[in-house]
This record gives sequence, structure tokens and C-alpha cells, in this order.
Amino acid sequence: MVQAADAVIGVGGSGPLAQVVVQGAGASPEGLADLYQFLYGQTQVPLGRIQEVSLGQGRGPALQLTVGAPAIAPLLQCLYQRLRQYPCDVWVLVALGTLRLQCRTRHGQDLLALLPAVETLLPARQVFQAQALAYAQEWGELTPVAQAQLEMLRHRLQIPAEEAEEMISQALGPWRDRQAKLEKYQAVLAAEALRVPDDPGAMPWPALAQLAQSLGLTAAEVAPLHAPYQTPVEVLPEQAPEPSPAPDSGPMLETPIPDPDSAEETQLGPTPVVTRLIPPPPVPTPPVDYTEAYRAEFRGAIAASLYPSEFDRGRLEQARRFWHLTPATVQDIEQAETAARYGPITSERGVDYSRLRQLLWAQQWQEADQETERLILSLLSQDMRPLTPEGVAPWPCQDWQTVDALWAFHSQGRFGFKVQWQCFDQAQRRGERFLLAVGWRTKGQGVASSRSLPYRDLTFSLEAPLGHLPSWRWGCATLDSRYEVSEALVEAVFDRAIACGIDTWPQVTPSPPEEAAAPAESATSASPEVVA
Amino acid sequence: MTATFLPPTFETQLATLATLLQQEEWRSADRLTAQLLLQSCDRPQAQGLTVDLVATLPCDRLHQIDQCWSQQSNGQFGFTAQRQIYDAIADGDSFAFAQQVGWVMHSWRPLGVYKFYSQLTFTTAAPPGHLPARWFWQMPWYQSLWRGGLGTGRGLAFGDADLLDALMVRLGRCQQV
Repeated sequence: MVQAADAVIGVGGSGPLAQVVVQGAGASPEGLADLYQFLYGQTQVPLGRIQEVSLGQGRGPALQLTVGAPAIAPLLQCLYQRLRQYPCDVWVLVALGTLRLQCRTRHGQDLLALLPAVETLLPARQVFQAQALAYAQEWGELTPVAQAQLEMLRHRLQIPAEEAEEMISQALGPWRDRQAKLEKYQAVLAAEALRVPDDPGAMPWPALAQLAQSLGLTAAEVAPLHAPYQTPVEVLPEQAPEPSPAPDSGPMLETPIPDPDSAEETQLGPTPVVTRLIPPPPVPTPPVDYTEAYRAEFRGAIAASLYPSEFDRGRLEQARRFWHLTPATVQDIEQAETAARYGPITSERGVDYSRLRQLLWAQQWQEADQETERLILSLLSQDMRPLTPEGVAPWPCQDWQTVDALWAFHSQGRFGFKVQWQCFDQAQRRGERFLLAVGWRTKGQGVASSRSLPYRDLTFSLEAPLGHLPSWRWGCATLDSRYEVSEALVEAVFDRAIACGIDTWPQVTPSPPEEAAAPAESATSASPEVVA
Repeated sequence: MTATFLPPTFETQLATLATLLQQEEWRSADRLTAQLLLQSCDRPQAQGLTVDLVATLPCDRLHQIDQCWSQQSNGQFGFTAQRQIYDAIADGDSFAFAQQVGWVMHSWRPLGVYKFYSQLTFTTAAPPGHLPARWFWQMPWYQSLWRGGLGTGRGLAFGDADLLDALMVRLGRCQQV
């Protein structure tokens, strides 16, 4: 009996066969034979012999056992039992091909701890088992394709046939093919229904779903079997789960609590236990149109500023994706809403007035004036030359109206071409009086009747007289020294204005400030719950 | 046998300008610059630039001439340098600008008169923005007399805020294209 002697156990081998070598310092061959008898009695170790090996403690007699891979675990457990009875120092060596795992211990717990390590060192078995299990859960049975794959795998991993068969049957379970599984499931359903005959709502749908999944049955197969046990409920379109804007319900959250009534409504039958983070399949008819919802959202986002904040931008993009709106639709909505709130930027010639709108919204009058000049010169003149009275004639009316609308909108109707036209009208359509009225000329002293201001002396604020801005610097060759608008230019401009029908242009007024509060409030309450 | 001499093209003259600048022939380069500007405007036969003519100068040619000057003088001369001083230091005041670039004969306001063209410094020791200057000095004799000069140009004449401003405005608009 190996008591106080050091027992050295080496486990080695390649493939599923393992070799267990037991060596004890001072252990006689008789002691080793005794140990072998004990192990045989416990685990029916098939093959063992005693021979001289050199391991650990030097050259000495050792018990060499050849066991199948599944038998390593019971063998180690057996040794653990033995060590509990007769503790002694143990040196365990587990080897698989070139891998060697060593463990020297006195207490058997380390041997037990070795068991999972041994398991992981035999990956072939695990791989095969996992593959068989995957096939079983996917199809419920071994299709010819799966069988061929597993055969190939078995050869590659050098697993003996009977072990492979054992693993396959382990994976498939007691019902080897699909039909048997369906029948079993049906039987289970019937049994469950019998268990609660008076209350069909008490059937454990989640557990049944789990059973179906582990049997490898699809929801489509299982749904007809549920039919006799469910009360038919008419699915109305309004009751379809809405993804937004209610923040409490919704499939974007974790698994909803399975409600028997709602479970019967959905196509999938009982809600699966697996958490889903995708919206449910869309209801067939009619598709809900979220354009108006997006419009409301965007209106709220631009209520405070011309460009939505980063946060709002991200939120709007998520809403767009969630509601399946195309970028083109969204762009149209955004342009229309921004134009309604902050002024239009339409153009006959494709000129972009958005920067002008931004500067006017920011009330930067001088920069806006400069931008106006840039736009007009690039539109009307060649090579950015100042406009002459003849050069004013081809001015496109739509663009002119856009610029006027933007200036008037952001200055509460004080600035813009229409206001200047009204000044001109009130000045009996005389150029000099017009220039005095809008403040571009001042009453001169002495000989000159009036003199012009330098451009920098213009008032770039809302305290300026009506029609003071936008200036007509696009018609001047000098600015700082003298901002001078000739009367010929005035006549030419307003002739063109009459031709464009300036009297019919709408008087643009901005929305009252009370409206700004309401959209902001509705925006925060109606935001869709989206997962970042 | 008749020979037709075509006037040199703008590109040829620009190459000449580049060569002159490289050899640091500032005076000749300045004269050539004024000549090029006059040729490029709407009335090439004019004897001097006016506000209306400056407004018609082509942007690309202005830019090319400016590039020549700036590159060869490392930014000391050229329209860009003059515009920078006009915007930043002089802040649109033409007299302050003229003082800054060293064009003024006396420093008393408002009696500041301009130097004669020959009194300008045609070396790199000049203040930044000193050149090109000929475009500003060249004018018909009667205009020179009318402005208080001696009929030779801007020498001893009063300043012309309009002309300077016109060029600065033109440069600004050309840059926005």
C-alpha cells in the first residue's frame, strides 16, 4: 500500500488515449500492484503494467496505466479518494502529445482542480461535442450534410467511432429525429394543458419556448401546435407595438414581461426569453408614416438656434434611421422647416444663401452686408466688378426676393429692399431724397447740398433708420474713403424692382417669441427612446 | 519688306517683371508694374489710374503681379503687403497708410504731401509696403497740378484717398471669388 511514500503520477499520451504513470519513492512493486488492484476495482482500468521509469524522484518502479480519455476523470477522482484515506505527496503530470501539465500536491483537492484542466487539454472531444450539439439544436436531427461533416471531423480529430457515437447521441438526446421531437413537444404541450385545465393562461410559455429551442424546433413549426391551446385574438393595427414615441414600452428595452394576452397577439407566439434589441417585424398594413413626427422633432430642434446642437443632430439621425426615412425626404423636411422659421434661401441660379441667413440670424450686420455684396457680384457681374446702372437690369427676381426676405425677417422688417423701395416711394421717387432718407448721405454745410459718408460710418445695428441696410456697396468702387451711390444707380435699381413686382412681395415678419417655448417643450417630451 | 511688331503679351511682360524682381531692379519693376496695370484696365491709353479704372482691373492679372512681387521680395513688397498694412495698421485711413509705408514727405496733418517719385527708396531697406508705388504716382500733368503738385506726378501733391481705397476694395473683392 502506498502510504507515506511519495507517489508520482504522470499522465501522458496522445489522442484520446492517456497514460497514467504512478511512481512512488520507496514504493515497492508490490505496493504498486496493490494500488493497481484498488484502481481496477474502482474504475476498471483495462491495462496496466509495472516498469522502470525515471520521473520526478529519479529512476524507480512506476505504475503505468493506459486509459481512454473519458476515464481520466474517474481515475483522478479515485486517486483523490485514495489520498484522502492515505495522504501523501503526489506529483501529477498530465501530458497530451507535447503538452505536459504538472501538479505536485499532498492534498487531493489539487487533483480535482486538475480535472477541468485535463478537460480543456483534450480539445478534440470538446470540439466534436460542440459541433454535434450545434447541429442538433439547429435542425433537431442529423441531416445527411451534418452527418458527413461530423464524420469528417471525427477522422480529423482521431476520435474512435464508439466515442463519437456516444457524443452524438448525447447531443441529440433521447429523440433522434425531428419527427420524434415534434411528437415529444406535442405530448409535453398536452401534458401541460392537462395540468392546468381551467386556466389556459397559466401555461408556462417561456419554459416551453426554451424546450423548443433546445430541441432545435423552429418557431414556425411550433406555432401550429400552440393553436389549440390559445384563444384566437384579432390583431388590430392600432394595437401593433409602436416603437415610438412612448418611452416606457417598446422593444428597444430589455425583454418585456411575457403577458399571455400580448403573447397570443404576436406572430411568434410566446415571447422568447432571449433578449432582443431589434424592433419587432413591421405590421403588414398600413405602414405608419413618420414624416410628420420627424417634422415636429426637427421643428423643436431648430426652435432655439438655426443649426441644431450636436446632441439634437445625433438624436435626429437616430430617429431618421429608426423610422426608415430616406435622407432625401429628411433633407426636404429640414429645408422647408428652416425656411419657415428663419427665412428662405431659394435661388433661380443655384446661389447658396445659407451663409447670409446664418450671419443675419447672428445679427452680424456688417458681415452680412459684405456677404450680400459677394453674392450679388458673383451673381450679376463679371470678374467682381462693381455694378453699373446697366448691370442691374438682368437681376433675377427670385434671388432678389430671397435676399430681401432674409434681411427683413431677421431685422423685424427694418431692413431689406422692399423697405428701401417704400422709402423711395415716400421720397417722391427722387434719388437724392431717398439717399438722405435712408441715411447714406448727410445734410452738407455750405456749398454742397449733401455729402456722402465713408462706409465705416454706416450704422450697423437695429438703431439705424429704416432701409439703411443692406447697403449698395456692390455698386461702389470705393468704400472707406467714400461710400457713394449715384442717383442713376438708384433709378436703375428701382426700375428693376418695379419690373420684378416688388409691391407684391410679402412683408416678412418673424414669428412671435411665445411660439419658441412650445416646440421646445414638446420636443423634450416626445423624444424617441433610442439606444445609443 | 514690312515687319509687324506685335506688342508683347501680358505673359511675356510678366516674365520680364519676374526677372527684374529677381535681379532686385525695383525701380524698373515698379515702372513695368504701373505700365501693366494701365494696359490691363478698360482704357489702356489713359495716362494714370483713376477710381473707375481701378474697378475694372482684371482679378487674375492683379493676382499674378502681386504674386511676383510677394515671392521675390519675401512678402515685403506687393499688393498683399500693402493691403495688410491698410487693413491692420492704418485701419482704412489712407494718410496713416501713406505714413506707414513711407510715402509722405512731411508728417503734419492735414498738410501731408507726398514725396517725389525719385525720393522713394528702391532698396530692400524700404519699409514694408513701400512698393509698388508707381501706379499711385503716375497721373496726367494737369491732374498733378490740380492736386498741388508740380505736374510731374504725385510729388508734392496731396493724397488721393479714393484711389488707394479703390485698389484695396478691388483686391478685397478679387479675393472673394
